Amino acid sequence: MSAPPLSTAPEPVPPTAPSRPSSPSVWTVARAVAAVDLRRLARDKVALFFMLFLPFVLILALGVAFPSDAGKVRVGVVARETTGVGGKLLEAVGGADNLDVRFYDDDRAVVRDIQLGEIDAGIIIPAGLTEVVESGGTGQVRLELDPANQASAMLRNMLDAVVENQALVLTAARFAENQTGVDQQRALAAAEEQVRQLTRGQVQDRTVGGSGVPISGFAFTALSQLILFMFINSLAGGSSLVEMRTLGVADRAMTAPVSTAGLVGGITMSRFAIALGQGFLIAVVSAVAFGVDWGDPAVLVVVVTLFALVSAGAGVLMGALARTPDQAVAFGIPLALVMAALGGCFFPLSVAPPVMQVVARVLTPQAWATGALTESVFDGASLPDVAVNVVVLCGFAALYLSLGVVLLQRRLERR
Amino acid sequence: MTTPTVRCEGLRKSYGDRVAVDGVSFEIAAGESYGLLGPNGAGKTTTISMMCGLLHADAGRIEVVGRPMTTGRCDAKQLLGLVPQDIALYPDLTARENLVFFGRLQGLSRSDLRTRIDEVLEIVALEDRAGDRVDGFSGGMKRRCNIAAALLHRPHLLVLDEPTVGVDPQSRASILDGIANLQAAGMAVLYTTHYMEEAQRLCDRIGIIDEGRLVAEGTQSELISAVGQSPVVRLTASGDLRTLADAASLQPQVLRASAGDGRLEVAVAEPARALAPLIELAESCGVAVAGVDVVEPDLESVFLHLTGKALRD
Repeated sequence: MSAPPLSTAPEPVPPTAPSRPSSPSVWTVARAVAAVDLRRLARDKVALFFMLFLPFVLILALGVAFPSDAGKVRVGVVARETTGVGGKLLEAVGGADNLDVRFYDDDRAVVRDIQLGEIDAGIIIPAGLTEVVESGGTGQVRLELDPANQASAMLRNMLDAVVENQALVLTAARFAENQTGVDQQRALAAAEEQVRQLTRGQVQDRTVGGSGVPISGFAFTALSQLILFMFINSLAGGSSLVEMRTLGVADRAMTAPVSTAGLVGGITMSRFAIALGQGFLIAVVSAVAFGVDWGDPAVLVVVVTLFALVSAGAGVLMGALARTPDQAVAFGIPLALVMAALGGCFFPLSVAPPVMQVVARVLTPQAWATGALTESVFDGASLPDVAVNVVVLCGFAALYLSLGVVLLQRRLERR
Repeated sequence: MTTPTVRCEGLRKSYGDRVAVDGVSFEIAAGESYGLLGPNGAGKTTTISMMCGLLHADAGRIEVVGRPMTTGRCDAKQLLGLVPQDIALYPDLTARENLVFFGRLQGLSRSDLRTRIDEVLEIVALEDRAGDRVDGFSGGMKRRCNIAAALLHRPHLLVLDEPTVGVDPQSRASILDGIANLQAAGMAVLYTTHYMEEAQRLCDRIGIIDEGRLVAEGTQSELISAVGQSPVVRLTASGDLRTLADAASLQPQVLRASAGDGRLEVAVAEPARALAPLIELAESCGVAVAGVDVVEPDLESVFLHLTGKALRD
C-alpha cells in the first residue's frame, strides 16, 4: 500500500509570534500525566492483575487460613503459679471466649504440640512471678508460638495487659500500705477496686478488639496486604516512568512550556493518586466483602494517605534510578517483598525478635504503617494514639519524595 | 530587518574535557529549510538539544522569534516543535490519545485540542487511524504521528532530527512532501539527516558541522563552489592512460587529470565542451575508450572534502 501524501495545504504560519495558549500549570501537567498513566494501566493486564485481583485473592486465602472469631485459638498453658499474678493470667486466659485452653505439666510438650500443629501457642507461667512483680522486677512469662500464626500478636497483647494490670494493682497496694498503714489485704482490695474502675474492660478490650466489634479473621491480612500492595505496585509502577524516559516521551515533554519541576511534580502527583486509589480500594473492598472493621476512620485515612506519599516517592525514586522498565520491575518487586516482610506485612511485627523490630522500624515505613493500622483495628486506637507512627511516616514520605524528585529532575535535565 | 525565526549565537557545550559544540552560530528565516549535516558525534544532537531547551548551553544564545530559549519553562518553547529521531510516543495509546497528552502539555484547552488534533491528523494523513494504537502502525505511520505531535501548537520552528530513519521510500517521499508544504506555509524547518538526497531536495541552506564546529554554511551551489568542487569526466579505457593524463592536463578546459586502474578522471569546468576534445585526444594517444561518465559534484563530495568522512560514517 502506498503511503498517502501529507496534506498539501497546512495552515500558514504567521510571521510573528501570535498570542499563544498559556503555559500549563503543575496541576494541568499532573492531570495529563495521571490520565495517561491510568489509561496505560487500564490496558496493562499484568498490572491490573496485581492491583485489582491479587490483593483480594491473598486477603481471601490468608484470611480464611488465619484464626477468626469463628475459630478458637488453641493455647497450651503450663501454670507453675496459680495465685497472684499467675492466677490473674490464668483467669484472663480461661475467661477469653476465643481461646481453647489446654493445661500441660511440661514445657517441652507445649513446644512439641505447637510444632505438630496440635495447639497454636503456649504460655509458661513461672513460679514466683508475683514475687518478682511485687519487687518491681519484670515478670518473665514465656510465650511459645508459631510466628506465622496471627494468634501470636493477640496473645502477646493480652498477656502484656494482664501483667501490666497486676503490676499496677500491686504497686498501688504497696503505696497505700506504706502511706496509710492499712493492712496488706485491705490495701490490695482497695487497689484492685481502683484499678478495675480505671481500666475497666482493658484486658477484655485488648484481647478481642477495642472497637467493640468482633475481629474478622481477615483484618490482619487486609491491612498487611493494603500496605504490601500499595508499595509493591508503586515500585513496579516505576517502570512506566522509566519507559517515559526511554521512549523519549519525557524529552519531548520537556520541549513543551513546562518546567522540570512542573513535570516531575505532575509525575509524582500521578503516582500518589494511583497509590492512594490502590489503598482505598483495598480498604473499601475488604470492608464490604470480608467484613473488615478498620477501626478509627481518621487513622485509616491518614495512614493510607501518608503511605501513598511514601509509595509515590519510592516509585519516583525507582523510576529515576532504573535504566530499563524491566530493571524497575526486577528490583522493585523483590525489594518491596523484603521490606514488607521486615515491616510486619507477613506476620505481626510483635512476634519478631526485639532486634528485628528495631531494624524494621529504622528501615521500613511499612513497620510504622502496619503498626498504626494494627493498633487501630485490634486495639481501637485513635489518631492521637498513633501520633508517633504518623510523624515517622511523614518523615519517610519526605525522605523518599525528596530523593525521588531530586534524582528524577536530574535525570530529566541531563546536566 | 525582520527577526529570524531562530537565531543561535556562539553555542558551546563541553562534557568534561570533550568539547561537543564549539561556537556554533546560524539563523533560520521564516519559511526557510536549514539542513544541519555532520557525521555521527559531530555535535548535531547536542546543538538540537540546546535549541529545544533540553540542555544548558555553556555559552551562547538561542532565540526563537526573538524570545530566549532556556531549559526551564519559557515562551520560546511554545514556538518550537521537536520531531525526535526516535518515535517519542506511547505505543499502547492511540494516535489521538498521544496527541491529547502532548497537546495538554502545550497548554491547549480541551476544545482547541479537539479541533487541532483533527487538523494535524489530516496534515499527516492519519485521520482514519486516529483511534488505532500506535504499536499497530507501520514504520511510516509512526513517523507521521511523531511529526503530528510536534505540530499541535502551531510552532514557528519545526526541528526534525532524522525523521525518515527506517522508513520505506514511499513513506519517506510522503514525509518530505509534507515538510516542504509546511515550509511553504511559512514554517522554519531545521532538518538533520544522514540521507544526502533528502538534504539536497529539501534544504534551502545547509550547515556542515564537524567536531563541534560549523565548518561550512550556504546553499548547495555556494558550498560546492566554496570548496572548489568541479564536474569530473571519467573515461573507462585501455592503453597508456598515464600519457593520456599528461596530455589532457595541458588542455585549456581541463583543471586536472589523473589516471589509474583502467580509468582516467578529468576535472573540467564545463563537461559538455570538454568531452569531444578528450575523446579525440584519447584516440590520438592510442587509448581505446570503453565508457564515459560525467560526475557532477554534490553535497556528498562537499561533505567528504570538508570532513574527510562520508555522511553515513
